[in-house]
Amino acid sequence: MKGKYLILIYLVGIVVIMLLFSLPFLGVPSFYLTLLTLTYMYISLSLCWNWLGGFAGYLNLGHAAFFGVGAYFSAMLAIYYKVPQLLSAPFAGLLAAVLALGLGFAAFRFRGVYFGIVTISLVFIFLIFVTNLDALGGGRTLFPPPLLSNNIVLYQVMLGSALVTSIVTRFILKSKLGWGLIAIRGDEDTAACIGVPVFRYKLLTFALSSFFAGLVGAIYPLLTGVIYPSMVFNVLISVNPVLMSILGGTTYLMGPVIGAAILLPISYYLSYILMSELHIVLYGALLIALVTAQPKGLAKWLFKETRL
Amino acid sequence: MGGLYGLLGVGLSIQWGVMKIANVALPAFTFLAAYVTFWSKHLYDFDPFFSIIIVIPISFVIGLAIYFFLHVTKVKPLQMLLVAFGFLLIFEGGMTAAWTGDMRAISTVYSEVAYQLGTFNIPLVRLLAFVVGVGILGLIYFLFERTYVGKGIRAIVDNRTVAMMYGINPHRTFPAIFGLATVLASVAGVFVGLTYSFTPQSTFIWLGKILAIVVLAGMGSIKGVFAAGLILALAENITGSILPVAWSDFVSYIILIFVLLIKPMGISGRSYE
Amino acid sequence: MSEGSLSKRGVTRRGFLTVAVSAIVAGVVAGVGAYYAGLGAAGPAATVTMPGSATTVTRTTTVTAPPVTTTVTTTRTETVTITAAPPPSERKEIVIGCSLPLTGPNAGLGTSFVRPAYTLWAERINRRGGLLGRPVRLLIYDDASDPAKNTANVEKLITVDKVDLLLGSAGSELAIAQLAVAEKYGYTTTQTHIMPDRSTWDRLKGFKYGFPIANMAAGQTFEEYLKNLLGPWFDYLNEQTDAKTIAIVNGKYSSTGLHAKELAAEYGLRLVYEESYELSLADFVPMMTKVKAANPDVFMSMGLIADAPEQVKAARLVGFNPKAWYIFIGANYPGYLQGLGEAANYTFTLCIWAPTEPWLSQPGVREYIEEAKQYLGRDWLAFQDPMSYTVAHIMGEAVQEAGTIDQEAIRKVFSTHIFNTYFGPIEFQQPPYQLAVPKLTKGKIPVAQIQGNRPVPVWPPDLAMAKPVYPKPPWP
Repeated sequence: MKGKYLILIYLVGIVVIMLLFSLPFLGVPSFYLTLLTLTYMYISLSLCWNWLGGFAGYLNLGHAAFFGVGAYFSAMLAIYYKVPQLLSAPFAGLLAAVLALGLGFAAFRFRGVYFGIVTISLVFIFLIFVTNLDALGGGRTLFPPPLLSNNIVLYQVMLGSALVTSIVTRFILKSKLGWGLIAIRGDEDTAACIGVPVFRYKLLTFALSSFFAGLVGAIYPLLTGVIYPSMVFNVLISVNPVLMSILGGTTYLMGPVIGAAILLPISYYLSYILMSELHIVLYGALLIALVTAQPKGLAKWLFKETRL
Repeated sequence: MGGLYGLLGVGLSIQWGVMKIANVALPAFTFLAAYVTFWSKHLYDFDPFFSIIIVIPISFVIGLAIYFFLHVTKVKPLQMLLVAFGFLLIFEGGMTAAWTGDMRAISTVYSEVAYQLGTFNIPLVRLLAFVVGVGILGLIYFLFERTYVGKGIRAIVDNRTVAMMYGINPHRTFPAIFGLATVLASVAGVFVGLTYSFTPQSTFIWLGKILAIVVLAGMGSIKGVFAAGLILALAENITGSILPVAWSDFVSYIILIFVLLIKPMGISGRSYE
Repeated sequence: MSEGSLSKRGVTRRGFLTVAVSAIVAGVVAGVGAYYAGLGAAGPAATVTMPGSATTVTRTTTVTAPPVTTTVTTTRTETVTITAAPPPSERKEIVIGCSLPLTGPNAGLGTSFVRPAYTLWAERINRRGGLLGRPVRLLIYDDASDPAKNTANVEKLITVDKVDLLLGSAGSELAIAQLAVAEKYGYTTTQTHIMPDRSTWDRLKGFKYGFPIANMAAGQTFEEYLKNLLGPWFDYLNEQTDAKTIAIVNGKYSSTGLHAKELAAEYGLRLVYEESYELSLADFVPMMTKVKAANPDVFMSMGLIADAPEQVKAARLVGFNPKAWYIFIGANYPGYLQGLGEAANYTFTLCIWAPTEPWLSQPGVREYIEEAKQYLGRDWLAFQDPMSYTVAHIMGEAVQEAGTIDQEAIRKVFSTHIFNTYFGPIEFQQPPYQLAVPKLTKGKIPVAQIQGNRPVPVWPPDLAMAKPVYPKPPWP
């Protein structure tokens, strides 16, 4: 019975995606492209955060640290060796993943809240580190040249990364890794008892998650052409994906997507409508309202059966 | 300085450890109080200590209001984070809108008085902060450990059902504690305003540090918070004197991680997880 | 998606790999194709969104006959109104867009200086009948001091709201991000609150549509600029004082402090202490202890606005009393002037502008000062006030002069015209660095000293309003 609808859904999905890819060529004003590009970026960040955060239940607040690592890696290569960021991005992601692997050994000694604290301190530590290293600009603003890219390319790349992360999410969910993570969230010790390689899975997910954070981070500075430490090693960049995932629903596959797709444009449009500093107040109020209205995540209103 | 840090951390520690509410909006109260102090001085020439008297009841009431909001909406811990963040944003936005993003500083007659103790310079304001901080911490400690009410609270945390069997009503005490923690954060704010310049963005800047203090201390432990505050403050000052000042924050975090590695539950080893 | 089956069969590696690889390949192909398509598409797309560009050709030919210009102008304005879309119905006003940091780290600049300056200007000009006879309307978006948001905002202003004019943001990163976006769409714009260091300086090169005001100092090379910005201070030290040793502390957000170090050396001052500290530093006591130990004649602070009073407080606490105290940025704010009370006096600082001679006798200044004080609700003005105001002011003057809101025409005016501002006459340098040159001070920045809790220019002598006091008396 559901089979027919399934194909229909997939078809509609493909059409929508093709439409999105062709949007830049339809004469849509640049602003919407930029807005969408940022939305895709946050979709990617929220999705990959959710692997560790929602599936495994480990609140990783250090996402920005790996994001920033990726950003600086590619920016430096672009400035000094003229390596296009798009090419170095996967390697930036790799670097972030390796770092995550290493740091994970220490970080996963902690659970729950403490894990959150340790990861958030990672962001600060990296921030201070990078700000003090003169080789990385010593805290000054740097201007990585936009090599081999323009608005449209950026748009496609971010859209692509959003898609890839969605696909990876789906595969994780259906894999042993995915079930293992969910088991960990349920009760880690029991999971270990029944044979789930808890530590290995956590580490792997952390690395995978950070890979994409670094990848996306490498591309971010292309949007504005500037980079400075507090732009990327910024708690907000860590926190926003968390908020988006929670709002959208961490137990839903599309949860983070919905959360990001709603919050990002709203955060921009609020300031257009209000044109004063009050938009932050509204944003906070909106957050509270939405969360209390549907604590399980907004995705619940749309998807009845994709719960974990 | 240690006293001040301790004071900053104790509010959050209580809320988090005792009531499992991760209220990250508390630092907002701190700076709200700092602003109140500034304006009362600026407009009415109130002495900052006088401001404490104003600040206490106001923050208690607001704290209660927030608690009841949380209670009524039955928010789960995970969502709590979002909600608290939402409040944080509301407060920060409100402060920016009301008082502009400018930097403010409070200067009083005794702001520049300092005592010489050997080679050390002890500014009066910090000394006061320390004294008040220790005093309040001591008071709270006394409250929790010795009084009936305090023991009741700890009983609830340890085992809620049993506590209720003994006639201890969490619903009476929890709001009070929440309000108390809010008050503590605000009082800290008064002193922060005296010691440092601040803007509405200060909330974000200090959030990391306050979290570090709380975790270093271990949730819900008063002694721990005090010790943690001292340690961090000391570390910062010492590194600041030796290395370029930039590294002092860095060192604080390294210390935090180090301690956590050795004692995952924080200094006091106690956790109400 | 709805296959919530309990099948524990893991995904086959091959399945995963095929999908992943094809997705990536598809993405790459799309991306590469997009790049080349983008290069081609950028052309036509740009002309579509630029209001009035079609009329440029006609314009150049008519300029030569002055009497004709008036009639032509009116027609042109109407044409522009029609092509400038939303609101599609005749737009009687001139819409001026800007993206300002109203929240975030630069909120102070945005809310206290830039926004009131722009709104004050809009009010004043509307009172006098508007720009080219049309009322002016400001569209201000908050970019939360985030360059990404700034870029998005400016794009919205240009491509969606289709504003007629674009005014600058505040803060170096934001300003430069905005200059880049404006350049892409051919919007002439002027910016201020830019603090260049060597890398940002390079970035300022070659903008055709951007006319930045960098603290009212000029130069075609960075060395020149630096000499005009800080030179007068070192000049003073050399010629009027016996200062030999200097301590420089620098806030890590900019390397201007490092450059100050170079310049100090050039002027023969010996650096006995230097330190770079970072943004979040709140406690300067340890630093002051170290500086005191080094015993410099001069203390120079190149930090953030918020740092200045903290440093003074810390210095007083440790009893550090150099012969001269210099604050680069931050001594103009109430937090310093009022917050420190008596201790604020005798601090040296940049004097980009002050409500005294030589600026006071410039046309319109007294009036502006009165109106601004009333509008802002303060009884003091810092240089950031008229500097922000000037951005709007010269844009308005350029439009009046050009007689149209066509970006090309405005750009020409900016390149050649001498503007009458509250800083005196200002003109812009020729490319590649189209910086603003205030002719009154010859593109240099005089030195001011705080006396009576107000900044007063004290050097160079032809611009001085009072005698500088050196050495500085100890903290009260």
